[in-house]
Formats: sequence, structure tokens, C-alpha cells
Amino acid sequence: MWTSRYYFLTLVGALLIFQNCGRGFQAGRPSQGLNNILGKSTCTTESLPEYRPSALTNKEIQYVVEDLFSSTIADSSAVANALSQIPEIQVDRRADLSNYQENNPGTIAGDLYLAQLLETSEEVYGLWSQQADFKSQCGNASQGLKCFEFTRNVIERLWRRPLSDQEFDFFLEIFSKPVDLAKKVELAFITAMGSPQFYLKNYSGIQGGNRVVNFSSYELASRFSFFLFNSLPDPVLWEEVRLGKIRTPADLLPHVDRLLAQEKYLVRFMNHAITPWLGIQYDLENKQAVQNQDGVAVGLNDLAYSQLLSFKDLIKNNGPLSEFFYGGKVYLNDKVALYLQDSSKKFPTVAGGDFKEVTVPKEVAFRAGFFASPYFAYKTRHSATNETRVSKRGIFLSEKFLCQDIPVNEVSPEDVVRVLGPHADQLKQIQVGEIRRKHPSCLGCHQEIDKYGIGFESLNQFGKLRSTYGDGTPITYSLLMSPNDTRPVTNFDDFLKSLSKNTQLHQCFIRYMSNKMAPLNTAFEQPCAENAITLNSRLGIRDQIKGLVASQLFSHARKPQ
Amino acid sequence: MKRREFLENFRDFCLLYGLSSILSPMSFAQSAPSRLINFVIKYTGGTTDYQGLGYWDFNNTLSPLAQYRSDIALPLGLNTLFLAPMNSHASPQVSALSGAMTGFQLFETYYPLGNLKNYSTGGGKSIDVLIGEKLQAQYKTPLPYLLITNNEESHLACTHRTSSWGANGEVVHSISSIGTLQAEIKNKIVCEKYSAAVYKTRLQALELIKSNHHIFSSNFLIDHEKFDSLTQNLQTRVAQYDSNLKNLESNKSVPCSSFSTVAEIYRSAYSSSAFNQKMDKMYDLAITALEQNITRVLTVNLYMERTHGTSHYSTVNPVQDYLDASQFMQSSIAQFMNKLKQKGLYNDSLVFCNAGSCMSTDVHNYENLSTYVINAGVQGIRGSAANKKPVGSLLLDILHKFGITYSEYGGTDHSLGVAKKGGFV
Repeated sequence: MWTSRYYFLTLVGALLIFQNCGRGFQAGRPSQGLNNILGKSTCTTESLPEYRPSALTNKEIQYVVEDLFSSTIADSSAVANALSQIPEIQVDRRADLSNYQENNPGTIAGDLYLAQLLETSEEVYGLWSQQADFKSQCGNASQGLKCFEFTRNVIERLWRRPLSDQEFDFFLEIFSKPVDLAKKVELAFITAMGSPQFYLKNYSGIQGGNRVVNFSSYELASRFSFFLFNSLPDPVLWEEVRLGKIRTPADLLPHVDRLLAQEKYLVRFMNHAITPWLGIQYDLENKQAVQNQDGVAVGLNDLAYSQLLSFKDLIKNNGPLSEFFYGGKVYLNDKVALYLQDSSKKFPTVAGGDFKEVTVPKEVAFRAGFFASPYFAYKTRHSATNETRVSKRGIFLSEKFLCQDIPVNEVSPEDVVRVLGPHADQLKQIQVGEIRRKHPSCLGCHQEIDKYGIGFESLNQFGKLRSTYGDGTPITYSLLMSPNDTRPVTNFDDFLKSLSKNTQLHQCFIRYMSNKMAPLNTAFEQPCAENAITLNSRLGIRDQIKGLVASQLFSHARKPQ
Repeated sequence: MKRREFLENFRDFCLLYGLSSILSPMSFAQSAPSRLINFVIKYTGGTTDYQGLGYWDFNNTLSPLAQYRSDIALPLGLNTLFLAPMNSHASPQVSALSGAMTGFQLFETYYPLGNLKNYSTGGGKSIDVLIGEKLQAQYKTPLPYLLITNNEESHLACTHRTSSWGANGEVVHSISSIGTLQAEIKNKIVCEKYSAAVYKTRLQALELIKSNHHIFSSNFLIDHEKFDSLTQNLQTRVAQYDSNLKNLESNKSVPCSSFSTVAEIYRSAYSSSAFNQKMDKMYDLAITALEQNITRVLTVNLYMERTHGTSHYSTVNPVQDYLDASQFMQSSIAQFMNKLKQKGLYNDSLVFCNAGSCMSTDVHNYENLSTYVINAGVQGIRGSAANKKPVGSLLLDILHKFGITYSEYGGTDHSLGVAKKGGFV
């Protein structure tokens, strides 16, 4: 049985699917480098994302607490327990669903969220009040003024901006209450953490009637830090903004390199921006054993971790995104190397469970790059039969990495026979793909998705190269990767090389990043995001991020109607 | 005539003539279920190949529930009857708890229409919401209903994490996090961990936050209503706790140790053991909610990723794989039922389980849906596969069990069998 048939088009559904699959992207503009991408944004007021603050997730609150109090929250601690019970944000409408949960702008489950936030703030206060600086500033009842200033500084860090006069008076009044000093601090702290100024990202009182929100320097710094590492501005950035050094988004750009050079922030960027896009975030913890054709097993977490390391290198080296998808190096440990079982070339530096970066010679039976990885091969295999499927891989690639919506269409066995003939189950996957790419009922979607699926047939379900199917049938193809191509792709290396520089792939990455950065209405309707920066497959990844930060998408938003 | 039948007939008489108010809650409770438990299973029901249309049998898939067999009714011949022919991705939700029956037109991802035929005009609410609201008023529960699920995915609306509909068809999200479920329950009870001083500090903080009123000047910032309800909730709790302090030892409050730190179990869809581990914890918490009268209605969405592929008969041993997956889900339900019984909550709970699909061709289908009802007062096979009826008929029967006026809902098609001979339960 082969289930790719279930993704065929029925004649009835062809029109709908033609419409859906026809939605493409505008080609990116050529670029010569970072200098050329700055200030090139062409967002109109209407295409700017609507301004909608989103609430902090429990993970983000944890980061804030850890950063602010230079403390690590142990898993078994009371703070961790309280944090774990802060509910996720619920959304009202499907249109609000976003690829990044922390940007979901739906209604807060107010009752539960606030109750748990208060409980968490009590526990965090308990943590803070035990610290030496707290005791030195607020340990004595006679230190009222000193303690107030100390507390005020903490609240301003929590709120990511200075207190307004009104807010200053508000907290001063709490300190005027006839209770002991510790109680005053506790009440002020819990109130501060329970306020929208804390738990809403991008909180800002919108003033005036202008249709565009211009963010203040403090708001820019906060938007930047939450985009990059899901927490409040680090001390260096905080100091700069306090000194008035952050006036425009361009002032933030040096901080991209500075922060991503630090392991703590790089890990957070990976966890909240990159691994969700790659789809590996859950698999990094998944020790499920994956077996190859010879019964050699490796944990899925190892396969995913190898990809994580490659992407981290890309960021560290400011390499172009295309290198991640088609490069010359790969991270291996002994288990992954054994899983790939390449006897023709040993890697002497690979031993034990630690991952080592190795250069992959052309003569070995596997390739470097995400799309050639055993992880990709495993995730895109047909789970029931453990074999490759042209449509499965094509759809996976199109939906996840090319940002294309592919409609699901599960057709009857009769429709399958009508298109593929009575001996359909004897066809090779490449033959199935070629028929569907030409059949009028199918080509609306399959012309594209099967093109990629056919190219991927050179990669078996375990991540090794192959030139024939099991029965000896050669795997050959001739694919024009884009309408402007004149030379078809006929081998896997050229296929990967072409795919790694695909404009849609790079645009899809930018969409994901911009979706995390800006409080958008929806995940898929971002005309401003698509034109936010100039696309260039040779541009370094940190430079792409800088381009986004420098864009109007970051610095402006449309006021809600 | 048996006592139960007499009471049901008497209740029907009262409902018909608008005399419901003469029935005291206690007398009503003795003759009618006072709790509703729904299990909504994605994709894996019975199979046509082995046991007939939509049939779940005790020798196979239902074997984990063997001890409840004498209380289980198995309706046959139920059909979703979609407006347009379609795959059954939405049918578990539609057929189990359909809001479409009360006027909500369901849209499922990629498909234009998924709702039942001939729905009537109504509030759009699904039956668990309708029953929950009634029981909330009757038993003074803090929550009308509690929805939980093993599945964290939310990207497919109306499929994995939603099964129920509130007013005007608004989706009601299931809680998929153990921590959130803990918080939901903990915040509805008096917890011994906290002194009155703690509650008072929280209340003070809330009042201060609220007094800092300019922060609520934008209408999109926060849900004012929920914020107010939290304030009232805490005020009520402080008063309640103050009075309870004097008799703390005899207080029936739940020790906070019940809500100690637990490791969140993510992606339970990946493996059977993770699934069971997560649901065991969530079932315990849900039982606490029922036991503490926090709610009277519990809906459980169960879904495993692999079951979609399995329900395409796409594996090497398709029928057996499908039946195994179906049986696994039933073993999870048995796990819950045993806890329910252990706590003495079984007898007055009506349990409704619906897979929303069966295998009538070689793919999950919405004809002859796999369902059963426990503690409905009838037992064994009800109806026949050949005699097709809209699934709304069964839903209306269940509403009827809880004394909800069914004539408002369901349109012409769905009045079949309701309170008549041939009704399912």
C-alpha cells in the first residue's frame, strides 16, 4: 500500500486547490551586502502589522527572573512550581494563531493567569529577599528611602522603562503605608509583577490620533531583547538605553553580534526562534530509538542535536542560511556515524558521545546539510511503511520551509486508479510523481511538491545516498528547479545546491523571524515582512537578523482600529 | 415499572408541563445522572472489516472496559450526515458534542463545511457546555465544565485541542498542560498552604493594580471581566478562608501538597508510556475537580499522532494496528473509570464516549460512528447499523437525560428517537 495517493487531487477539489497552491511569493531584490539592506523597507501604513501586545509566557517570566536576580531557577523549586502553573495564553480566533506561541495576541485567560502570576511573584519575592544586596538595602527598618530607590530600580527593570511620575507616586504611596518595610517591598514587588506593564510585552499607552505607533527608545530595546532572547534587556543594553544611546533601531545592531556571541542568549535564540522553525524543538528531548536498515539504532535527539550544532555554528560564523542546507561539514558522534555506516571513509576524530564537526568528502554515501541529514530523512519517511514518499517530502518541504499552504486531500482508491492506472502499487515513487506532475487533476499542487519529492528520492529513508531502488531500478530525474532555469538538475548535489539558494526558502525564514519579532495579526499575511529586507542567499544570518531589526517592521506598528 | 423509569417519566411529565421547579435537586439527582463525562477520541473507533459497521466489541477493543459491560449501551447506525461529503477529520467533535446541533456551522481546516444537516437555530453550544451550565446552576459549581487533553498541538483548530463550543459556536479550548490544570483546580479551592495573610496580600496587590487604572485605558489590553472575577474570587476566598481558619483541622480543604511540583510531560503523543503517564496525572486532577464539586462536567480529548496514519489502513497489518490503537484509547478510559469508581463518583456519572469515526471503507469514515454510553440505564446494542439515524439523535437523548428541553435543538432530523420508543438511551 502506498499512501501518497491520499494526497491526490480529486477533480471536484481541483479548482480550490489550484487557487490555494497558486499563491506564491514576490522575488526578492538583489543585494550587495548589509549596507544595502538598511533603510530599504517599503512598508506602507496599511501593510504594517497591527500593534497588539502579547503576554509573557511562563518561560519568559522565568528568563526575566533569572536575568534580573542572576539566579538559576531549579526545577524542583517553589518558583519553578509556581511558574509551571501559569497558563499558556489562549486565543480566540484561529486567525490569531501564530507560529510563535509567545506572540499569540489573543485574550489572556485573565483569571488564572493573574492568580498564578501573583503566586509566582510571592515566590520570586522570597527568592529576592534572601539575596545579599536585598538585605543590605532593605534589611533594616530605618532604610526606607534607600530601600525605595533599590525597589524602584528593580521595578523599572521589570517594566523595562522608567516609571512615569504617576507610577512613581503610586509606589511611593505603597511605601507610605503603616506596615513594616519588608511588607511594603513585598506589596510593591507583587503589584509590579502583577501589572500589565510587566506581563505585557510591548506595553505602551497609545497616545494621540496618529495611525502609526512609533516606539520609544525603551520600547525598542525591549522589543529587541524579547525578539532575540525572550527576556528583558541585558545590563549593557539597559545601561545604553538609560544613557540615551539607543535612539534608532540602527543603534541596536551592534548588540546582535554582542549578544549572540554569549552562549546564554544564543541558546535562547536557538530555542525560541530557530528550533521551532526547523521543527526540532521537541525532538531534542526525544530519545526514541531510530533504526536504520541494519538495525543500528540512534536516538532521535542525537539526530536533532547534530542539526542544532550546525545552526549554532552558522550563527557564530555569520554564515549564509544556504550553508545550513547544503554545506560541506556535519556534526557526528559515534552513534550517528555508526547509523550512517559509511565504511568507505572513517572519521578518526569522532569517538564517544561527544559531537565533532567533520568535513564530508564527496566519495562517502551521505551529504552534509539539513535536507540531506538522517534527521530530515527520518522525519519525512512514511511512518507506517518506513519508506520514502515523494508527496510526503514535497509537502513537508513546501509547508515548513517554503511557507506554502498545501491543502489536504484524501482521495478514494477509485480516484487513485483513475489517475495512476490499475497497477499503481507497482509504480516507483518517481514514476508516481511524474504522472501527477502532468495530470490535470493533480498538477496544481503536485507539479511543485513532487518536483522536490522526486529530487529527494536520491536520499533513502535513513539519510544515505542511493542511485537505485531496492530492485535495481535506477533513480534518475531531470528537474527544472525554477521557471527561469534552462539547465535541469539531474543529481542530488545540484538539487540540494539549488534548493539551498531557493528564494522562497530564504523568504520563509524571514517570515518566521519577522513573525517572532513583530506582534502580527496572523502568521501568513505579512506583506510588510516579505519586503522587510533584501533577500540574498549569500548574506550572513546575523546580517539578516540585523536587516530585520533595522526595518520598519521592527520600529513601527499600525494602531488597532 | 421500575423506580428509575417511574422517576424518569415523572420528570418528563414535569418538563413537558413546565413543572420542573417542583423537583428538588436531591430527588432529581436520585433518578438522573449528576455528572457528565465525555471522551472524544480522534480517529480510532470500531472497524467494519471484522465486527460490522462501527462496532466496538468486548472481545477486542472494549476489553479494557469489561467490568463496566453491564452498564454500557452501544448505539449503532449513527451518522454525522455532513452537509457536504467529506473526510471525517472533524467528525469526532461534530458527532460527539456537536455545536452544529444547536446552530453553529463548523468549519474545519481545508474543508468548506463540516456541520450537521438541518441544524436548528440555537446558541451554538455543544452538549457538554449546555449540560455543564445546567449542572453548575444546580450544584453551585465554580466551573461549568472542564476540558482536558493529552495533546499539546493547537495549530489545527477544531481538531486536536477543541471539541466543544460555547455561545455562538466559540471554541472552548482543552487544557493540555498538567501545570495549568493544577492551577485551574487549585485556584478554585481553599488551599491549606496559604495563610489568610497571603490571601490578603494578594487582594491588596490586586486592588492596587486595579487602582492604577490608567493602565486599562486601551480596550485591547486585558479582559476586564475576568480581572474583576479574579478580584471577587479572591475576596470570596479570603472571607471563606478567614472563617475556615478557626476550624482548620476539621476543614475539608484540599492540602496543597496535592498540587506539588510535577514535571510537565510534553509531546505525550509520541509514545504510549508518556501518554499514560500524562493522562494518569491529569485524570487524578480531574477526579479531584469532580470530587471537590469544582465542576460536574468533564470532557477529555484523546489523540495520538500515529492514529491518523493507522486509520488509513496504511500499515503492514492495517486492521490489527487500527484495533490496537483503538484498544489503547479504551485502556486509557478504563484507567479513568477505575479512578472514578474508586472515589465513589461512578454511579451518578453518565459517561459518553465517541470516536466520531469508524472504518467503513479503508479510511476513517463518518458513517456508523463508534459510540457508547455508560450509566444511561440501558445496556447492549441499541439500534442497528442498517437503520441510519443522525448522531444528533443520541446527543438529544443525552440532553434529555439531564432534563434539558430538547425540542429547541436539533431540527427535524435530530428529533428522531428522542424520548420515543427507539431512542438510544
